[in-house]
Amino acid sequence: MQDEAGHPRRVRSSPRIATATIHGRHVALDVRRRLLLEISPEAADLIREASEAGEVGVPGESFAETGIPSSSSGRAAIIRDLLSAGLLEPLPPGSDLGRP
Amino acid sequence: MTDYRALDHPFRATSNEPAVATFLDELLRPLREEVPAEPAHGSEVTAYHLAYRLEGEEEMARLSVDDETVYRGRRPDRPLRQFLHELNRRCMTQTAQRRPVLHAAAAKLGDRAIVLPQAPRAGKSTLVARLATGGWGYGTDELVAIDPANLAASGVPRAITLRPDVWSLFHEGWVPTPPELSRFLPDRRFLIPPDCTDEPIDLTHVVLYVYDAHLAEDVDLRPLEPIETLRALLGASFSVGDHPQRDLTTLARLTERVGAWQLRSGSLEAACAALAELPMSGRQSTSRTTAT
Repeated sequence: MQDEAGHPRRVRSSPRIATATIHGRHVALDVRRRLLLEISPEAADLIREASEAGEVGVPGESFAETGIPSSSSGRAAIIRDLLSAGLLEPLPPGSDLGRP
Repeated sequence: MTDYRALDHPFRATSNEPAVATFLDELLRPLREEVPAEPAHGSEVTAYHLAYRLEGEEEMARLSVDDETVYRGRRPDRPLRQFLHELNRRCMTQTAQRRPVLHAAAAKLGDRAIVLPQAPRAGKSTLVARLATGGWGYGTDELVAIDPANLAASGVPRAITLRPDVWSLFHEGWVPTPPELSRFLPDRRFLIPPDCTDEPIDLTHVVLYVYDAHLAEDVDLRPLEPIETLRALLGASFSVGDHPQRDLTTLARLTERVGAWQLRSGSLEAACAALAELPMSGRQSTSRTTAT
């Protein structure tokens, strides 16, 4: 599903991302850029969910022109940060057609 | 015919040139298999052959790997150099199918087992050569594989390649280079430490070693944060690109288990002494001057 401007409202885990915990802290590895980032437990859950399900949605949120959720609260804010860090990416327009 | 093994890479190496065959036999001695090499995990025993026809102006040289010609030309130094490169590459590729492979050195002394992940030319080969000729067991100067099941580390205890500027520091353990070959490898000498092992070991420490001439005899030892340690291990991983989740999970677990330090020194002797005294547990920063 897309918003009024045609931007996707679902995101997927970026290719070549791995996650782990170390001494109880969550980390994500962006293999393409060889970056190891510390992330919150909520972000780790979201990446895992996106990775296992193939994609996750942002209920009640629409994406701004940049393809980034506009809200700064809750799940949308985490997704926005992960999109900015390159750990999640928007599904290309058209790839989520037909989904609820 | 002698069989050898480098981690999960079983191989044979032969030459039609007697001097080269003798040299290979000595160079590969730490990798010799007591029993004939068995194919590992579906892989075949790789056959390297270095062929020479040394006839002055017409001299030709060739390296073949199984039935494939990897080099054929007029430079007699190339087969040996290319063989060492191919051996490393194929060992790494084959082993990485089952376990993370790090660009690192490893050595063991009593209960203390250290891995030194580092960038090339940072001094790790020289340091591990000094450790291994000073009583430490020698694991490898190049490749370490970590078993995801139990985090045991295995190395390739190959002969250590040393640059001319450090040759004078070592007096024993050199692989003799026949006069016929000295012109092939004028810039390389190989050292085999007395106590080589490819048995799996339980690592106790990760050490990032930096040779810093400005420090002279001083030693700067700093504990590493877990994230720093994990970054260093991932940075040294040859296999993370193909197996990111496996390598990240395995190396994160290893990081949780070991002590991790950054060691800077301008003195090999001072660095070796510091490694022998690394705390087995706890994390504290030290900086001291070693008496000359």
